[in-house]
Amino acid sequence: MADNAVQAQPNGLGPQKQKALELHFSQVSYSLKGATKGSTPIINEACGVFKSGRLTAILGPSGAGKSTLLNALAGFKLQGVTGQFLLNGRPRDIMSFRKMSAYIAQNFVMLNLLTVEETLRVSTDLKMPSSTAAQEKQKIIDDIIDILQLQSCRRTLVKNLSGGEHKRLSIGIELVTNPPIMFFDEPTSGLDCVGSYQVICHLQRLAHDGRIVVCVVHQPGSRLFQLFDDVLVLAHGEVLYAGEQREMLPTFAQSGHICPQYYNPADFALEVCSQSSTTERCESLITQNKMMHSTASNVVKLQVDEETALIDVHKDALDLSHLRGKEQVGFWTQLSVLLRRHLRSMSRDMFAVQMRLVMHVVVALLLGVVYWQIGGDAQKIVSNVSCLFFVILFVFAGNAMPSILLCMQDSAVFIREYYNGWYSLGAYYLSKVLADLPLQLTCPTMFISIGYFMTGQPPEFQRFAMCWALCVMTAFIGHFIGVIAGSLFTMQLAIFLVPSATIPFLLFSGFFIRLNELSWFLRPICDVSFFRYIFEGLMRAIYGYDRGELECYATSNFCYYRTAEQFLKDFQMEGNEFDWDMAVLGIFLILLLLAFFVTLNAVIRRALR
Amino acid sequence: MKMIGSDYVLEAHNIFHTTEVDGGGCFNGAGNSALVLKGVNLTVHSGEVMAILGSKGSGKRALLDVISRRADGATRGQVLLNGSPLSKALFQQRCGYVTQSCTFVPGLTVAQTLHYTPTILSGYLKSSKVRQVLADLALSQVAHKRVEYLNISEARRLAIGIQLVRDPVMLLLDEPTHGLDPLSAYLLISILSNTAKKTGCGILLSLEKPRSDVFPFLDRALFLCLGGVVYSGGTRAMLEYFHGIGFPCPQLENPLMYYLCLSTVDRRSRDRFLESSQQIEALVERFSRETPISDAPLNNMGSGKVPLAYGKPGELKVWVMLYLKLLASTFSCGLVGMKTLFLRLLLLPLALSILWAFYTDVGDDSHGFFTKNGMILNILGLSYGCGILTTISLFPIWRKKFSQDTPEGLYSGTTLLIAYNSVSIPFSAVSAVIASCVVYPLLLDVKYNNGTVFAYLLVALWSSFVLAEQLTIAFLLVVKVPFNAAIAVTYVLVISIALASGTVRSFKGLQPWLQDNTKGTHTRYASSLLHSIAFQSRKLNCTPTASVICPKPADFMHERLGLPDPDETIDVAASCAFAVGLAAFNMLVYLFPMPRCVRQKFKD
Repeated sequence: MADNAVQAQPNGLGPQKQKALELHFSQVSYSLKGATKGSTPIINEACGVFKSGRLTAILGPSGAGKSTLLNALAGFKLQGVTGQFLLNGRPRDIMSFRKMSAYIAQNFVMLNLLTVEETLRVSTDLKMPSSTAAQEKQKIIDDIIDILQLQSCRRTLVKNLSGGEHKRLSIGIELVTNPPIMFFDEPTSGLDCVGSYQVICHLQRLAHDGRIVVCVVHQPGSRLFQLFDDVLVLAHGEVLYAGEQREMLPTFAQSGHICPQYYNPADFALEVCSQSSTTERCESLITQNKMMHSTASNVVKLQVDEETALIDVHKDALDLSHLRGKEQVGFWTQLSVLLRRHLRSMSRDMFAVQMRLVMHVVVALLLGVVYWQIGGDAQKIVSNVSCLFFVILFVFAGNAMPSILLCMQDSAVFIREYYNGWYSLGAYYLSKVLADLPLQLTCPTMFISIGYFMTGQPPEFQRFAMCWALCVMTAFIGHFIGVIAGSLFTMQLAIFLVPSATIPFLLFSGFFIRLNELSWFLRPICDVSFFRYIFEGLMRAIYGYDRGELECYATSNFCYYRTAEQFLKDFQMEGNEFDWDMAVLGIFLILLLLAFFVTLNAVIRRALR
Repeated sequence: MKMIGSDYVLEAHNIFHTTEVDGGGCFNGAGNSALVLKGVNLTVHSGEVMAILGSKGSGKRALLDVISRRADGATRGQVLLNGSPLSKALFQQRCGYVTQSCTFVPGLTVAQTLHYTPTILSGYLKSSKVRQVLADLALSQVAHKRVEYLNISEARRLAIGIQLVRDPVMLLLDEPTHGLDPLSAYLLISILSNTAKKTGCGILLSLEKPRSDVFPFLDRALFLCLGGVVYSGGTRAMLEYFHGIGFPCPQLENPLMYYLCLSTVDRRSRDRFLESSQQIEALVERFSRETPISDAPLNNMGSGKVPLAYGKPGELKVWVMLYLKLLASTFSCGLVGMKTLFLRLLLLPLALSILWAFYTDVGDDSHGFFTKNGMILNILGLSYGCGILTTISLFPIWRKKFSQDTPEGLYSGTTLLIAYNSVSIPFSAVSAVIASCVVYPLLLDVKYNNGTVFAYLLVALWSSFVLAEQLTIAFLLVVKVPFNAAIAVTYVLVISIALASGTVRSFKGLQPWLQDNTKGTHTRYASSLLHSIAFQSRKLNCTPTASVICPKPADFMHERLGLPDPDETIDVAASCAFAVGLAAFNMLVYLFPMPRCVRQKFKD
């Protein structure tokens, strides 16, 4: 009886002390959902075996299905996948298999503004159980840095890493839990021959420590190819060969494929793959491979308890949420780790954070120069309205557009980490809202503090507080519109959509055209334009609440608008209803917060498709 | 082997090249210098294919740039073509360079792209040449396919075809197989090898990860590492050379990749780096000490004279080709043609028709005056915005092609802008006429038609559109991302509207120094035209009563513009002068050579 023990806790990164693992797969097929019966499946009856202590390469030309097969073997693709997967002779349980395996994608995204050590620390804090001691976590981090030779760039930001260092750090993140099975999708893409050799050497070391390591490689050089222990050659969804690397060329030679002199065996394998799969010689290769692994599977079957039934992993109705791993730490620990990471990233972001503060101050000074002491003059009351409208425009755009950039990198990292069960959606959502809070309060505060007094608005605390509250509300609304668009769409599309969608609402703000002069069928749009309530609130804050008569400095001592009340009446903004404006804006903010939560759910669901 | 044309030999002797390492952008001073090439020698004959191999940073592109005379920085050594020094002009006349980026004009087909390439040939000879190039590059099947639907393999071959149609004697390619799958890479190298032998053209290409199957097609190889030559010569002699110095190639090894790894420094640690650097330096030293093997073919016809029977096509011919290319792109059937026609003809009228939803009930009382003030602001903003949007959608592809064609010396920036404006300005005029018909009823009563007032409106709209277009073209000269250029132009025009239009900020209330400066902007005169149309040319429909006060247009315009009665003639002249003057300024600016930091941005 083979023991299928699942390691509960890692005990360091040394060689595996548990029994050797073998992953047998046979009759594995995959077709696109909804494909007709006559179409060719992407993967067709693939079979082979992965063993502990051996480094396996999956070779094949583009479009052969290498990454698809890797995803199916790793358990990331279940719908449409049929076949048998035996782990040490037993059908694998997808949940425990996902827990003990690690998958490193080709484009492994990490936050650019953290250092190598900080990245690994976040990984240990979120992936290891809460009961793990801090000293043990630090030892694991040091071991990973030592194994992957990242000492020289321990304190380097991720964005400054070279290609090879970046690859090794992505391996290190997944090494935290010491998984016995690891899958890599093209770990050498983008590296030169020395960098590729270095990464594969590390993978070989990981494998020879007692792990199953499988990687898809694109065009390995000969020296690189010799580092692999086993090879699986895939062509048009069929496995031409699965076995030891040294036996590949003799097996091909038996079928009539002779490798010429001065030829890279991997290049030669690709040439064999490129021939039509209906060739007689290729057919014999496929048949021979199927027979060999079918025999091996039969041998393993004899060791299984005869009463255990083999279960096909063919569940179309499987709930996708089961693909997600279980979280290892509690909610508040997740929140504190994520919050600390967000704040540290933002403090180093030169463009999105620091330049925003500078820009708010510069534009506030510009506003003060252009509209110098204009607020108290009754003759210039119309220009002061333009000044108030400019405040709305800048605070909104100045917070919406940078938020899109902040979202770009975060989205990809969030999808990967949530999918691997690092933290819950609620913890991420709350940490993101809280981490952005200081910036959302600081920028409009600095802007309105400078602009309000330079433009000569009435020096009353109540009016200033009203304007400040409206600016903060505008900043929040702009920020959440930016992060929602940044999460849902690509950067180009988001940068195009945010102004395109919000600028039409500016037309209904009451500044360009009086609301009563609007066509009747367009007036309901004013009720849902948040710019209207912001503009109304600003007008009432400045001119409402018994502002009284304004000073008239005209030479003829005649000003068309002498009393603030008459001015508000002409704009149809009379009445002291600032509270109503703030309440409506609060509703908008709550709706945007809910929309952001729904957006994160939509992003997750789209990534799992 | 039957040779076509004369036999040519390209030689490079003792090439040393120093390039400046960018310190961080356009605003840094002189950066550090780095010796990129150290004593490179190579020889390529007609019909031969030579590969330059090396890892990142080994100097492959620098070598190609030095041979093509595009490199900045100090260069020592000689580049000879049949014994004559290869100058930039001679390279442009007789050789070709294919860079990694494939940029074609959207809307054109593969055959049209080749046909509109400026060559000496014309008429039937041109068509025959195009058909031959299509057949040689296996592009006949996709001759009528639009360039935006090509896959990467077909796009690479088309980029090579654009050079082959000009019949170069030497063709340089920068990593032509980058990003291709193995089958496409094999196909490309075999096509290049066949083309070299068929036309007698010498081919020099750089590779980063050569595969085993391309080895038979390469006649010569050159291995570079940190600017030094590890080996340069024939591929057959390569195996013997390395075997002789103690590095035999194993049987199951790709010789190109094996010796490429031998020529790559190991950066895993400092000790390994120093050790591998010393080994490579020893290899470079060893090769430089070898007696140069005679690379001359048996039949040496070159005797120091390069036939100059062929030359560059004339400037007028190039202009005609550019103009025809622009017209073909605009009127091409398909999505690109529809998009181009929509942007050129219908965007401005459609944008201005949105105003009908808001401004159909404008009265003549004080409320109506402020509402018309907002309408003028919207008209100006939409005209500028449509000009910006049209230009950033259509012009960047030509800007990119201009930066790629400039090293080939095909045409100057002035020629490009004359061709572009010849297509663009008639379209914008027609678009402005349609837009004026849309906006005219909003500003005036249609019962009192006035041709002069319509002309004022037309000038205001057209000059605004053209000014935004030309300003965007000016920014696109130095800004690579069209969206960033649009943002920059938008900022400039928003400031101009805020200070000079009188709609956002009363002109009379500005500081005196701001009033004087805003007289130098186009917005002031266009806005003045629109104000004249909206307030002075319109008959007021207002009856004063005890509770209704009728404002006087002169008072309102004095408050807004600082002038109770602006002169429309001056406004018309100034508006057109700003637009046309900016177009002329662009032609002048596009004529100057770009600083290096700007060229670096457009190189990718």
